[in-house]
Amino acid sequence: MNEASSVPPIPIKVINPVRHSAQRRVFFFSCVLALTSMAIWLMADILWRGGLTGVETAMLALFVPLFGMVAFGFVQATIGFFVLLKRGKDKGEIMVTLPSEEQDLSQLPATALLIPIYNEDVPRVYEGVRAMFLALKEAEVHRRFDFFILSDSTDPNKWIEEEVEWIDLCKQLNAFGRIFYRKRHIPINRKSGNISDFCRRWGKCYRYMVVLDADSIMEAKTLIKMVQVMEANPQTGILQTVPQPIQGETVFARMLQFAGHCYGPIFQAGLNYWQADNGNFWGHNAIIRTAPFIEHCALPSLPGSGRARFMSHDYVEAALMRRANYQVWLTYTLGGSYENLPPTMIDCAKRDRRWCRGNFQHSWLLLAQGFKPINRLHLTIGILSYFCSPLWLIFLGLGILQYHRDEARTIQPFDADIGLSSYLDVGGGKLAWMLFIVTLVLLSFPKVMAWLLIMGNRAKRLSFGGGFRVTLSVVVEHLFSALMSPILMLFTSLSVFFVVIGREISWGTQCRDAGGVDWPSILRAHTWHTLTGAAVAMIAYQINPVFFLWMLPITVGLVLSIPISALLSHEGMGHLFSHIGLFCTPPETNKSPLVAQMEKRLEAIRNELPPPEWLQRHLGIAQVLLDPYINAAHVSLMRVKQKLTHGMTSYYKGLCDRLLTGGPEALNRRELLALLRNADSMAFAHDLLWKMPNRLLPTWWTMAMRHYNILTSQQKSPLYR
Amino acid sequence: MDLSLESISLPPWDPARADDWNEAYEKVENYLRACRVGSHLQRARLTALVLQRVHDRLQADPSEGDQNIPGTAINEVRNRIEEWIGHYLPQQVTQGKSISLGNSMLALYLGDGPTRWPYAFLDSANLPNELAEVIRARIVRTGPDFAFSSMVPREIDLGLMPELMESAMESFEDVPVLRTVFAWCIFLGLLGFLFWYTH
Repeated sequence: MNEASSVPPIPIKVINPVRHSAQRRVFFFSCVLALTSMAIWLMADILWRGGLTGVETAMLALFVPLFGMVAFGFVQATIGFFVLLKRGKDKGEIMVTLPSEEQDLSQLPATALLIPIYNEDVPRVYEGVRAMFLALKEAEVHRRFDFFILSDSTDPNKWIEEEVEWIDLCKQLNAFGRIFYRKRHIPINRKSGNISDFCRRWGKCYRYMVVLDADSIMEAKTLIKMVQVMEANPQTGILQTVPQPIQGETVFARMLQFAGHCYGPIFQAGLNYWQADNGNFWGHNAIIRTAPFIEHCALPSLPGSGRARFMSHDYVEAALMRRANYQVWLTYTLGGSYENLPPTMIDCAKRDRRWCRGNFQHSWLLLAQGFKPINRLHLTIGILSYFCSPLWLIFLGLGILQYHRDEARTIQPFDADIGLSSYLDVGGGKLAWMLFIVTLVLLSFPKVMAWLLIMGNRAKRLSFGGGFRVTLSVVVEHLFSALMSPILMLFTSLSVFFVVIGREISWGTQCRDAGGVDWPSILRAHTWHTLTGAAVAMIAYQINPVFFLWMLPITVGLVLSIPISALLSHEGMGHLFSHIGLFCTPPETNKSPLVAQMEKRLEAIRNELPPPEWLQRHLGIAQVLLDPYINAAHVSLMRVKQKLTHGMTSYYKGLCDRLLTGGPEALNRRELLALLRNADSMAFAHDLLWKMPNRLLPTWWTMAMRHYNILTSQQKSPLYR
Repeated sequence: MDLSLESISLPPWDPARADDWNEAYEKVENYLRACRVGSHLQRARLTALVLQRVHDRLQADPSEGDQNIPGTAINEVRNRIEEWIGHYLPQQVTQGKSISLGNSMLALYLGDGPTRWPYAFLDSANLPNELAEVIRARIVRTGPDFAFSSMVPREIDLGLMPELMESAMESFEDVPVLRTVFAWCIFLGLLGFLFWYTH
């Protein structure tokens, strides 16, 4: 293990990136305000014909935050566009402080790489760790970085798989003492509790910690530069990188991946423009100064009788770090930071539902004492990003009602030449068109600007597969995102509704067909979208066929939600798109050796013959009871033996008896976990299982013993997946 | 254990307990396979030796004959393994504690003992020095050492927000009926509004 580094930080500052940040913010928010107020004026002018009714007032009130968010995104992208258009380094970016001269890498301070996991795809996690470890070793800095796999897994089989893979990985890389595995028996406070637990036990040993997600990896040079930048900026508490999405297989994942690579940079540059040192923490792929984090970022429980914990801890930690006067930066130019994306729209909705709940908890903090205004804004934007969906839904509903009412009264409000339209010398109808087009432009133009940036640079163009492919990809992505928007709106609105009434939504387990499409889930998730879309279309047609046409952008996506979702979840189509170069991204054309190595190994693992399904379901339990080495490893990794009361001893003995005489199915997950946590019971169960005569064993165990023979005869790895 | 080929001899045939001996053979062989003893020959030799020992013990103490023979055989092979690894780590001590069989087994596995030296497994007579070194080097120590820090959550002064939200939210969250009533109110309100607005 690295010792706590005594190497003093070297404060070398070339340029101060915080300079002019106040002016930048004033300019940015002035632009947002100007755009929003003009649009509100137009909207008010359209609605204000014959006086504002209750519904019109409500529509106008809803229009303010909805258009505000659109204008916010547009201004951010436009400014980002001009920042990127400028030649040379962005002087408002933290990376300008990176010393240009070569530094002695052996003097890097001790840094911990934390990988909190919770019932994850174990091979993916460990192959990521392997790739990063080898990259750091190649850069000859692996002695300055320690890996901590921090598990909160509640699946007994995953737990054993994690332990076994850890031992195997350390064995193969000779990395004992560099890669550590810790399993928390009681996963208090989820991910943030897991990180806090690390900080309390080992935080003092490391000046920095890099927090990764289970599916994220980072290049060695990125990690080194992050540490160097932190060293050069002692007042920086958190440095957040932009994780680049990779490894998308389905159409949906590939499309998001493309959008991230193509449109992401202008939004990130714009974001950095106004937030500067008041950045945010996104929960992973970021480096954190450990001491102030321990000092200032321990999260209290939320108010209320349940004393709930923050589910989305990252924004709060950034706000607490800022409150302690440490800077929080985003670096969008660093690169070499990767993550995976949800493969389907339904998975994306599930993730959003978790985030939605977490973000809504932030409403407690909006008036918290000592928080910086920008952090309050981050929290507000986080909340609004979810609230906008139900607001849009209500806005649409009110719009339908208003249209119906006007039709019923045969009022043609747009023909009246009053208000702003009289000065502009245009009719009210044209004014409505104008607002519609302005909104469309604001929504679409950032994509055009991003496309222009790529088309204007040959290297970039080629990295996206060439001019034709990138253009086609932008068009197809735009079409799909337009179709998906109303579906995602309904998903998020439902999530918001359930969060408000305090209900959980059950999604069921996945059941994919050969193409990777999970039809039962798709039908369950989208049938009501289809019905809603059909109902809205019918109502609109009843009101007025012209209105029906106006509603088509909403209704088409909803009515076709099932085939759209199936198409987007299809891995075969994703591969076809990849083959023809649609949604091609730079990491695919210039594959990083780090990613390539990880993918190659994962491919080999997935090609291995898996054990039969009945055994695979409880493979961890079978391994830990049948395999002398795995049992020994598990028992060795348990805590020091504790003295048990007579009642506890009987309880564990009862569990052992049931496990051995009834097979793993005889115990539920909690009981299996309880048994796994008790080292003596596991050693006893292993011994007893082998000693029991076959006639007393259930078929499951006798079959498992026979199959295990075959598995152990494969000499590739003991981790038969 | 003497692992010369001459040492291989199965216990005398006992038709009365043939099934028990067969099961004992199968279990011991499976256990050795689980220990990654990949060589068929080595497994056969070791299994025969273990069964011979069990047989000898039963001869010496016939009361043991009532016991389950496969279980006794597994016990024998586990004892042999413990004894054999003990040879490699006679007095090794880590942090004042004796190394357990579990740790030794782990060290054996990490050193690829059974794979790299398949014919040395359980062979006390011919101990390769390299294997002993590998096992000693592979003893895993848990770590890293703790360096405790105090990370105590401090209450955040939430300003006016708790007063604004707390009482309403608490009652709302604690009474499930209220949640249901709220959902129904929204639905009925929507219906009523639609009726009023369209008439």
